[in-house]
Amino acid sequence: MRLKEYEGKEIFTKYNINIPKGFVISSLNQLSKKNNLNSEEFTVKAQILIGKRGKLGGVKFANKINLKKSCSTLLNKEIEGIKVKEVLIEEKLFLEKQIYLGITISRKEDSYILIYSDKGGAEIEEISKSDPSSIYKHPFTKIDLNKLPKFFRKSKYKNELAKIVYAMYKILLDYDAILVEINPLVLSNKKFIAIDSKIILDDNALYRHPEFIKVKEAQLSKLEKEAFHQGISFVQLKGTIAVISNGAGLVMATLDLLDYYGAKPANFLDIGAGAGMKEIFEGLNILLQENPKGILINIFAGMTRCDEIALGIIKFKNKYKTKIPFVVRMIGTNEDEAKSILKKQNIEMLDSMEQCVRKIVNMVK
Amino acid sequence: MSILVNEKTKVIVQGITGNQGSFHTNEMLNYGTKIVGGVRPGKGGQEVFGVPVFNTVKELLKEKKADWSVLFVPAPNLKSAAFEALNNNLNIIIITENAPIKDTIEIVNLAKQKKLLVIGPNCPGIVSQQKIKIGIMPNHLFNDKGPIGVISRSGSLTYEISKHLSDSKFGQSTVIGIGGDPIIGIDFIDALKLFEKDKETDKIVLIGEIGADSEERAAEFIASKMNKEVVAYIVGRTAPEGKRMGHAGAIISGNTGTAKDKIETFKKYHIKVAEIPSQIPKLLKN
Repeated sequence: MRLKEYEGKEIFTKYNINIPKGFVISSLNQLSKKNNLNSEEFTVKAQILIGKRGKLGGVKFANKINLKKSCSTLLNKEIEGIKVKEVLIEEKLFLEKQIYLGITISRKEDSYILIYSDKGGAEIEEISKSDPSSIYKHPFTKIDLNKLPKFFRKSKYKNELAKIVYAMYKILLDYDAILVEINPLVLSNKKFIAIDSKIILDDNALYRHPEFIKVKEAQLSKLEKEAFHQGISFVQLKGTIAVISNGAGLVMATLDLLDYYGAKPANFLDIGAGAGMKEIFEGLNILLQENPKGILINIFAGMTRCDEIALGIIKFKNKYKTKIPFVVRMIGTNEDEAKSILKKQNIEMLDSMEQCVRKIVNMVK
Repeated sequence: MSILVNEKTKVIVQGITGNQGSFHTNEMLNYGTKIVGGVRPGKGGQEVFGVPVFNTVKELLKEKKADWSVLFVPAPNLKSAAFEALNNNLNIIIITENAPIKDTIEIVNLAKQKKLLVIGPNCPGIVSQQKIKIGIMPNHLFNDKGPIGVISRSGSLTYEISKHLSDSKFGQSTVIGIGGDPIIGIDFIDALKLFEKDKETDKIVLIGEIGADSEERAAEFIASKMNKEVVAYIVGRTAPEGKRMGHAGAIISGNTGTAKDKIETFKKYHIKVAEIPSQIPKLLKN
C-alpha cells in the first residue's frame, strides 16, 4: 500500500528528514485559515497515488496572487480517472542540487538495495537507461554507517547524506516498508530537503501496524473495501464478464483466457486457498454489484472442497434469483459430490477451464 | 534421481496440529512421504495420524533424523519457526501465505549463511512423482511419472498445468512451486540448474507471472547455459498495471514487469511461449 506524499512526509519529519514548510487542504475555504507560509512563491501538488504526477498536470506553481486559483484548478480535478481530494501547498524552494535516493527490496540479491544518483528529478527513469553509470546501486541486508559505499564516501556531503540514508533505512524497518524514496532530495540554503516522498508499505505486515488499516481503507473503492473485510483479493477491471477463481495465478490465467477468446474480464477476484461456502457466497455477492453480463466460476480445489463451493453457489442462486448467465468449472477435492449437488439444481459443472471460458463468451454474445 | 528430494528424504512438519498442518500431514503420508515427526509448542507428546508431536525441533531431532521441515505456521509466527528449523540445520519449505517481506529477507539470508535451502514462502511445495510430496498438491493429480520438470510461481495454476500435461501423456519428474512472493528462497534459475543436471528430466515447463524480472533473468539463463528445452507460460497479460514500485523498481530491473515484456524476452531468446494452457503440450511435442 502506497502512502500519499504528505503521509510520507509526516513520517520523514519524525525521523528528522527535512521537508519544505507546507499544509494540506481538502477544500478552498481552508486555504486562508491554514496558510501560515511566509513565502512569495508556492508549489501546489495533487495528493493522488499515480506515477508521473507532474507530467500529468498534478503539480502547479503559484505566487501569492494566483495561489487560490491554482488550488481551485487542482481540487476535484480528475487525473487519469482519479479525483483529487486533497492538495499539498508548500513554499517553493530554490533547487541547487537534485539527488535521487531510494531504498527498496532486491529480488535478485534477496536483500534491500540502496539506489543513489546526483541526477535526481522527474527524468530519473530515462537517465537510468541513457546514462546508467550515473546511478549507483548498493544491495545490503544491514546498513553499516562505517562502511558506506564508495559513491557516498567521495561526496563532500557524505555525513549529511549518511544521516538521511540511515533515517530512510530506519523507516523501512520500523514501518515494514518495501520502498522509501526521495526524488528529488535538494540542497537549499545548505540544508538537504526532501521535496517529494514515496513510501510503500508491505500489506502483509499491516497486522503489525494497525494504525494504517484506516489509511488503506480510504484508498479502496466500495466493492474493494467489502472484499478487503472478507479477506478476498479483488481488483475492479473494465470488462463485462465477472470472474471468481482461487489462487492469483489461476485467476490471472482465467482472465487471460477470456481475453484470448475475445471477451473482457470485469474483475480479478481470488477467494484464496482453502476457501469455503462463505467466501464463494461473499465473492459472488461482490461480483453481482458490478452488474456483469456473465459470471465465470473457476475453482481448482486443493485445500478447498468443491462440495462446499457448490453449496455456496446454490445459496447465492436461491437468495438473489439472478438472471445473469453463469458457468461453473470445478475440479479437485470432492468434485463428484459437487457435481451431484449442482445437478439437482440443474447447474452444469464443467471440468475444463478452456471449455468453460468459451461457453460463457458464447452465452453473453 | 529427482531434484532436491527423493524417496529416502525424511521430513518433519512444523505447525502439525493446525487444520491445514494435520490435513496435509495425512495427505503426505498417503502419498508415501516419510514424515518422522511434527512440532507444535505446548503439544509435545500428542500424535497426529500416528506422527509423534514434539514441543521443539531440537527435541524432535534428539530422537529422529530429518532433512527437510515443511512449515504450516501462521505468518506472525513464521520467522521464529523458520529460524528454529534453520538453526537445527534443516532445509525448509514454507507453505505459509502473507508472510511479511522483512521476515522473509531475514529467513532467506540466514539460510544462505548456513548453506541451507528454502522453498517458498507462499508456495504449494514440491512433488517428485510417485516418490515423495512435501506440500499441498492434490495427491490424485500428481501420480504420473514422466520426463517433464515443472517450475512455477503459482499454486493452483501449477495443478492446472500439471493436469494438462498428464492428460496429454506428458508425465512429470519433479514439480516445484517456488512461491509467488517478491522474496523467495530457490528461484527459477536455481531450479533450472537442478533440472538441467537431472537424469529423469528431458524438458522443462516454466510458469511465470507478471511483476519484477525473475522471468527475464531465467530466459537469459536458459539461452546461455541450458541444453534442455524449456517451454514458458506467463500469466497476467490482462492484469491491470500493478501498483508501481516508485522509480526504484524500474531502475533496478530496467523493465516494467509486464507479461508483454516477459513474453518478448523469452521470444527474443527463441524460447517457446504458450498463450493458453492447452498449447503447452503441443509445444513440448514439436
